[in-house]
Amino acid sequence: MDLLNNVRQRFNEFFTRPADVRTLGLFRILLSVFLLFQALLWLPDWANFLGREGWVQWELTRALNQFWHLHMEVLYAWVEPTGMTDIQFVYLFFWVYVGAGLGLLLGWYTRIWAVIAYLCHYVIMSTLPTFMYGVDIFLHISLFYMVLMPVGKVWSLDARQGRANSEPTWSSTLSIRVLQIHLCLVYFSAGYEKMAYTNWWEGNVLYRSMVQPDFRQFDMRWLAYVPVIPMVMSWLTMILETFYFIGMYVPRLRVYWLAGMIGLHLGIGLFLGLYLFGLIMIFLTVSAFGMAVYKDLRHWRINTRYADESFSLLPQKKRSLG
Amino acid sequence: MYKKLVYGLTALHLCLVTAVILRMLPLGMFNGKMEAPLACLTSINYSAWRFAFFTPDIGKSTEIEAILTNRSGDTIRLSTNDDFRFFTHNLESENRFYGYKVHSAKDSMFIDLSARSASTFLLNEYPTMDRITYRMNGMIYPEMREQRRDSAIIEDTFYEITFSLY
Repeated sequence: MDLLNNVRQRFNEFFTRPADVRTLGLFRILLSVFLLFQALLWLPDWANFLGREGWVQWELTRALNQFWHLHMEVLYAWVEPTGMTDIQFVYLFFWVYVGAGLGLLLGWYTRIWAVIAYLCHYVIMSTLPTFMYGVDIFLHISLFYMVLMPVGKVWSLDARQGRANSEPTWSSTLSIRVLQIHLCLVYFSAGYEKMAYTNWWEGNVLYRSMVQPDFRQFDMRWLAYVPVIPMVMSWLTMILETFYFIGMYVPRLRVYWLAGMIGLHLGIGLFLGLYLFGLIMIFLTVSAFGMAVYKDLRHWRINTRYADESFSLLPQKKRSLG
Repeated sequence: MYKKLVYGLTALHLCLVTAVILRMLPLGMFNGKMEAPLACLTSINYSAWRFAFFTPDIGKSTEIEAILTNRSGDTIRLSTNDDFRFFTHNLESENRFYGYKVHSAKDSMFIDLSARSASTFLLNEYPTMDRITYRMNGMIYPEMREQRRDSAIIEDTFYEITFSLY
């Protein structure tokens, strides 16, 4: 009975004890920086992807839509009577999207810009279903959360101008927990599913992903002659991902775990060429657990300093063998 | 009341994410009556999205080859296997074609339509060319053991179509 009560109490505490709202500020800033960076990288190819006569034309992508999607062509039909060309509209849309990202970054009327950024991203996802991959999915999830979560509480113009209260509330704590749990679930599933494949245990998946043209960045065929390297890397990946939900909740251990996750995603960027995917995953992990890691590091430093001081300043007890 | 509603909706959201991510829902749910509501929810917040995480497709890829010709006998051969980067300006734009290749190879009607769409794009890029052969090749890459035995990459053309302006 005591155990049950203890678990219940811990559970309630987890969801209700005020959590550091800077986590939400960090989430907003990192993800809006990401949005802006991705948009600027996309700019030179924007019309080729989203234009009426792009790689996959509007006519075709619209045929893939369901009634709940919001295609670029539908929006263009609203402004076409003004005489605006489809290309002008596609670029106007781009700058509205970038503007919304900037509004989010500054935290100026945060909620409004979060809604606009989310809707723009919804249109992009509806217009480009064939060109989407993990990076867009995680950005979409993040923007959805930014619409609902109080992400303008700190490090924002809303807070500075008195439109947002920086005190932790039940909703800010709940938001932080949802973000953390969602990431833990994603990583657990990523790791545990890999464990079901012999190819992952042998390191073959990692090897093949580095040599196939979709992801190949360097000639890594030599790894086939040193199979222990991809094998160890695969095991590390599976351990880091599967036990992320434990590693990130154990004080101090999470410092190493976060470093491991950053290393893992840097590796994905460097060796598989998925730089933006690696970056968004780093940003999400840092957003969700960065403040906790920062506090661990600070406590560590303070404790170390005190330990050093006690070593040098306190009178030492004389020891004798006799 | 409001607080309870928010906690309730959050619990529902997290339960759905857990059930979908951990494959606890029967596969039939994604094809039967629940297909449309789950797809709609997915488009909103991806809470019903089944992540793949580099598991099933690794070691196989689809490469696109386009051969443009004209009546004067000029030929331009473009292949994603030989560093053809779809006229993209950076690696991130090029990465998007991984999804495109996987998507377009899935469905026979979509493969036709996307081949037509991409061929139109390429003919506009090369106005002096008037004929294009669009080909999709399935590739299987050797595992480490096979690579040590110098096994070759297995390549097979599974789709080919030619469009001509004359």
